[in-house]
Formats: sequence, C-alpha cells, structure tokens
Amino acid sequence: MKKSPKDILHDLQRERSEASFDIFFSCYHNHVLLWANSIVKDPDLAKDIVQDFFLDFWQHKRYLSITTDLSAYVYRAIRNAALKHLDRAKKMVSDESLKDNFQEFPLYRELDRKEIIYTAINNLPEKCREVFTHCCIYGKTYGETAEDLGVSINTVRTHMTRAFRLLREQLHPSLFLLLLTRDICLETN
Amino acid sequence: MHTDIEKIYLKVIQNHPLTFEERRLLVKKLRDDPGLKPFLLHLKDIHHEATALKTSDLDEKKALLALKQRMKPEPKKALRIRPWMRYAAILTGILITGYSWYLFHHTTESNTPKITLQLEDGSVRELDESTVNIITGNNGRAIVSQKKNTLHYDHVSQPGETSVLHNVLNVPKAKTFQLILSDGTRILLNSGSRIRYPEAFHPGEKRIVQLLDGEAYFTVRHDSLSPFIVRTGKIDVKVLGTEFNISAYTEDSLLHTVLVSGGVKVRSEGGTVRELVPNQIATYNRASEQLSVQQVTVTDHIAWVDGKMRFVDKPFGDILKTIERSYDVKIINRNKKLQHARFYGDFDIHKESVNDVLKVFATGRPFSYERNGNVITILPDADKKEHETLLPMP
Repeated sequence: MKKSPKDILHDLQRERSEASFDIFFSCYHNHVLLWANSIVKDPDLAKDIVQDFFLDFWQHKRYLSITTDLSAYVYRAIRNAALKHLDRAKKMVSDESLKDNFQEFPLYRELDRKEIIYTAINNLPEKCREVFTHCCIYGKTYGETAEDLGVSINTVRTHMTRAFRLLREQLHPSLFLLLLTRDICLETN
Repeated sequence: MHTDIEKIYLKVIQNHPLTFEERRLLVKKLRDDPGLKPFLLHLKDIHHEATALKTSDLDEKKALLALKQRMKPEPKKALRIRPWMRYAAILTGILITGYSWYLFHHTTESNTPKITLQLEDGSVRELDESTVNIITGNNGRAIVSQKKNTLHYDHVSQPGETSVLHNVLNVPKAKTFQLILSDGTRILLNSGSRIRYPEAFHPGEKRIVQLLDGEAYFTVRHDSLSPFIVRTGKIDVKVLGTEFNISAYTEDSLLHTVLVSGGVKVRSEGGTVRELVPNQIATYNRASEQLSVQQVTVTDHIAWVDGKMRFVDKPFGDILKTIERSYDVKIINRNKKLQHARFYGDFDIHKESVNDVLKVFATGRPFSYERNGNVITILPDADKKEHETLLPMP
C-alpha cells in the first residue's frame, strides 16, 4: 500500500531516514522525469536535472523546509532547475538578431498549463495514477497495462473512467479555458 | 454494445485513427464540454513528449541505485603517480595519435554529403551545421550570417542598386535547413532540396525564389507591394503573405502545395490558375499536367517541419521515397505486393532509426529485409506464402 504525498512528507520530516527518502523517490521519480523532459525536450539532460534535484533534496534536507503541498514543491523545483538549464543553453548560442523575443511569454503560459496537468495526474490515487500513466503517457493498450500491473482488463477500464473523471473535475473548465490561448485544432472532421 | 468513451480518448491521445462511430461520439462529447478539447490535446502532447524517454529511463529502482552511488561521500585519496600510470599515459598518447590519424584519413574518404551554398560567382561553400559563421564572397564582402542550421540574410538593398545576386542552397538527404531571407521570410527546407533566391530583394519589386528540387515550408513576410512568387518549373505559387508548404521533388510524380494560412494562387505550366484557401491542397500531376484542389488536414502534410514523418493512407512505394530522403538510404523493394499496400503511421526522424521505422511497417504486413551499408533490400514474400495466396478460395 503506497502513501499519499502528505504521509510521505510527514515520514520524511519525522524519520529523516533513507527508507522514507526511498519511498519519496519511487513515488515521484518517473513523473518528474516526464515533467523535466517536457520542458527541456532532451531525455539525457532531463535525467541529470532530476538526479541533481533528488541529490540536493537529500543532502540539504530540503524536506524540512516544506510547509505546503509536497507535489507542488517538487514540480516547481524541477521546473525552475529545467528553466535554468534552458537559459544557460540559450546564452551559449545567444545571437540577438535571431532571437524570437515574442516566444518568451507563451513559453511560461504553456508551462503553467502543463504544470497543472502534470501535477493533477500525479495527485491521482495510486492505482488510478499507475493505470492512467501506462495508458495515456506510456501509450500502452488496456491489455498491456493489465498485464504490466497484474490486474484485470476490467480493473484497468474502471481506473481509466475514474482517472478521466477526477482529472476533469480537478482541472476545472473555467480555470483551464482561461489559461488556454493557443490556437489549436483537433482533427475531428 | 456500449463503447467506452475513455477508449476513444486514449485513441486520440495515442494518435490512432478513429472509426466513424467513435468520431461521432467524440464530436458529441467535445460539443457538450468545451474544456475537453484542450485537455485531450495536452494529454496528447504529454504522451508525445514521453515517447522520447526509454523504458529503462523510467525504471525508478535503477534510477535510485544510480542516485545512491552519488549519495555516498567520495573517498578522498591523494593521487600518487605509480609506475604503471606512466605507461598508461604513454599508451593513451599513442592511442589518441593513432585514432586521430585514423579519423583524419577515414572521414575524408567517407565523404558524407554536406549542406552547400553556391554564390553568384559560382564558388561553393560547405556549411558546417555546428558553427556560427559569416560567409563572405571572394572579394571579402559579407554575404550572410550562419548560425548553426540557419542562414540569415539581412542585407538591405540600397535605392538605386539594380544588380540582383543569387545564391543556391543545397540540402542533402537526411538534413533540414532554415533560411531567413532579407525581407524576413522564413523558409524551412526538407531533406534533398535545392533552392535559388536573391541575396536581397529590391523594395517594390516581385520577390522571386526558385525551388529547384525538394520540399519547403514558407512563412512569407507580408508586403502587399511586392508579391512573393515560388517557381518550381511546373507550377508557380504567388502569395502576398502567408504560410504554406510546397513539395516538388523531381523524382515524385505529384507536386503538392498545401496552404496553412493566408491565401495563394497556384499557376500550372499549362496556364491553369487555382486559388487556395487554408486547409486546401493543390496537386499537380506531372504526367497528366492537371492541377486539382482538395480539402485536407494540413498537419498531415507538414509533419516534416517538426522532424516527423506522417503517413495517412499512403502507398508503400511513396512511403519508401520519404524514408530514403529522411535517412539518406536507398531502399529496393522486391516485395511487389507491398508496393501498393496503404499505411498509416507517425514517426520521429530524430528519435527513431530507419530500422525502427521499417519494423513498425513489418508488424502490420510482415516482410523481411536486409541491410548492406546504406542499401536496404526488402525481400520478396517467402515462396510458400506466395503460393498460398494463389490457391483459389474455398
């Protein structure tokens, strides 16, 4: 039985043990790796960023200073680290004449929107999150997901229905539409 | 039977084609819930981004072990030079010298095709995509600045200047390159393309570029006084300021112009003129010399701009040509039945190798192939199978 972010943080702060860190790591690693990769679009760089984050988190006992939501903290820390890398990369090839100044602003909006979704997925109940991640992020079929997680296809189906419902509730339409500026078209016709 | 709506969402996210019934259900859901569409599109993005990561990257146990290695405090040892280290140093020196000798002699021989720029005076410059550079003519005049895979012309022609100097950019197979012309127009060139254009446009005059071969995505800077014209030999495309894609490979029997936004006029060699509105494609058939216009899903035709190959109901023969150009390989298809089979598919050229791509096709319609350097031969069906299909159906 896995724990909620609240329990994980609580255990870290109380026990300060490597065992509690391991649980924290296993719970967040894959999801923050996806998140970092989504920002830097470079799997190797994303892996470095994530490893550096966890190392720093442990060595400097960052968990002691977290008072709010653990997930929100982790996602924002990864985002800041990733953006720092992007800035550095940009400086290395910086050439004013070729820089698209107008791109800066939409980048942050886009990130805000994505951060909300990534965090929302991460906050799904454990089993539900695993099923949803396998299907919708790793791109597996119901059958493959059932096999990977050792559950029945019917269970996968139930979790998917629940995951979509919970996500749609969490990502309240008005909030989400407000953030939506990108002109996009879904091929439905 | 009742279909799970989540299964349809999943298909959308994974970019699988929908049946008519599924499409109908989806459209209804989208209409009822305006927040659903952006939600699904973001999930589609997230899924797509995740494909860059390998399964082994997402193994948290392995990642934790790697981290534990770094969590241990590093043992501090003074470095003492031991006798064996001296030999190791000498050996390393020999290896490096030998390897650089090897590299020097072998890279010059293997001669991979380079991106080249031919100047008005006929001289040819090779462009190295990893550098930032200013390209100058033989007289030392600065012509264009290169930043990695972009050439940026910013020469503004002076009033009274009459001469027009042309450059020809040649992009070999398996590469793409971006051009920014003096008027700010951006042209992204696909692999195996050649384009001729002036170093600077004169204000108030027609802006003419020639797509000599290949495919290009144009983002034309609006200028109502100077129409922008792309010539391909068979068709001319005239625009005022817009985004569109032209595919005019000399080896292809069809030339395509797809309009993304704005408006263009396509004129064929025979004088037929068709005007396009966004989401339309003009197809010119070299054999029949006919120009026809159809409604299309634009994103299917410009996937290459993002480094992707997207095939929608495409004959295998055409698909092979695209693969050849994207990966700079030669593919010989000896499996005749496959040539006209139609496929759907989505690939990322930078993340998937040519083997990965062929394997995907082979799962749909089993075939085997041999690779010998840059030549890939798709083998004919095994005799037995060939024979079976000849038997009359019971």
